[in-house]
Amino acid sequence: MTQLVKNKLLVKLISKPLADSIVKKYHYSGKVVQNSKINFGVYYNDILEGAIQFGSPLDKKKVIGYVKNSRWNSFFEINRMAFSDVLPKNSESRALSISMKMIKKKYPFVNWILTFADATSCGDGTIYRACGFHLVGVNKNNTIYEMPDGALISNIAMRMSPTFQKKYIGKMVYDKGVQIAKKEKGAVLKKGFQIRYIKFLDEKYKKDLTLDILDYSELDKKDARMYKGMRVL
Amino acid sequence: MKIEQIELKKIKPYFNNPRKISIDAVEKVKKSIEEFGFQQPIVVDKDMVIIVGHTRYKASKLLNLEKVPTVIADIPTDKVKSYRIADNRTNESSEWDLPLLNKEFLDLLDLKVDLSLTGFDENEFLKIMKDHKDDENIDFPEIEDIEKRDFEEITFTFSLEQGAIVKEQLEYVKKNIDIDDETNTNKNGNAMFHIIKTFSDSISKK
Repeated sequence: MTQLVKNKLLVKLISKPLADSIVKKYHYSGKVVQNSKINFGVYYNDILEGAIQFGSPLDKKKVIGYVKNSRWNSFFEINRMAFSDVLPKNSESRALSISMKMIKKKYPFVNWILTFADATSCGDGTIYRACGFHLVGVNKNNTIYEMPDGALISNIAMRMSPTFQKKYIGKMVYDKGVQIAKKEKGAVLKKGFQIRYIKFLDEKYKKDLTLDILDYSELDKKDARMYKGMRVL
Repeated sequence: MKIEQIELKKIKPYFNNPRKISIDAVEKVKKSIEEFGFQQPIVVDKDMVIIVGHTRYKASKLLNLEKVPTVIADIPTDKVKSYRIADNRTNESSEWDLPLLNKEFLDLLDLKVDLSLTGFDENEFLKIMKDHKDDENIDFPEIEDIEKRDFEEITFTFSLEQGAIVKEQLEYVKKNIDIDDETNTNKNGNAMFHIIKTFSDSISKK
């Protein structure tokens, strides 16, 4: 299923391995997640220049209540979104809009999309705002850590990833991963903010939102602005 | 960096080169030089002993080249040895991104280029292309609109030894016992349930 738009931008479904390759190449973290179910490739002049991956949030039960009466599959999370630098201005938000329209057409029961912007290392969500996402959370980071070699790791990965524990701790320590990484291996909490956005594919569900919609200016008030990894003052 | 055309007979292989060079590798480099020309110089020390480029040297001999592009490295003797190993070792740290490699193969086929020129043999590139043939020809997955989830995910933490035994037994059950269950398509779940049900039945009989 494809959709052609002006300026030779094409958004189409691709396999997870191919989308993962693009994410590893262009995403600031270089890491992929396992829960991506729907993977879009973003082509510009017939060259694959980006990927958008939708899937379940890691802990679905925790977020399903953000919108009252949500059914089990009535929302997706944007797991990863990554683009090369050659895409012209605004094409990232156009590609995201197209991908969400394609989702709504295929899955009419999907009513909202959740996503997070990492304003500790990447950006505050310019593309999401351009697509009309509602700002629903600006929280000081308490999940992303930086290792002495510069690697960025989430607290969940610290607890659950055998790769992380073997590489940085030398053995499996399971739930003690965060504690040991902080105390003995130099893991430091990244300064900055985690920013949460929600987009309603059908605006009638907006009345069921249980989170406050914040004005975008809240990002300035909290000094949470970041663009391409640089703080915006 | 100064590249000079130096007579091949003046260049000497390093007597203790720790990198094994296969005939196959030499043949591939020979084919590459024939097709693309000599694009990467051989690097030698001031005594004309090869630091980097033993395979290119051997391929040049097979091609009866008189002179080859060469760089005489300005590196202290004590560092030459480590550079010789490091050059090979650093290459080992990279690996192929297969989905992207497959896209390159497809582009080359469009250009009607012989894929064996890439150094991959036919079996290798055919396998990669087979594994990734549907990378750009995908349909939406089936996702149902369900009110609440109709399955339970339970996570356990095992020691490595325990985990190995659990995995081994699950594989045994999946391979040898009919565990299909119309209420669940997850084979690991069905295998685990079979083991626990068997245990539970044996307890209740006692």
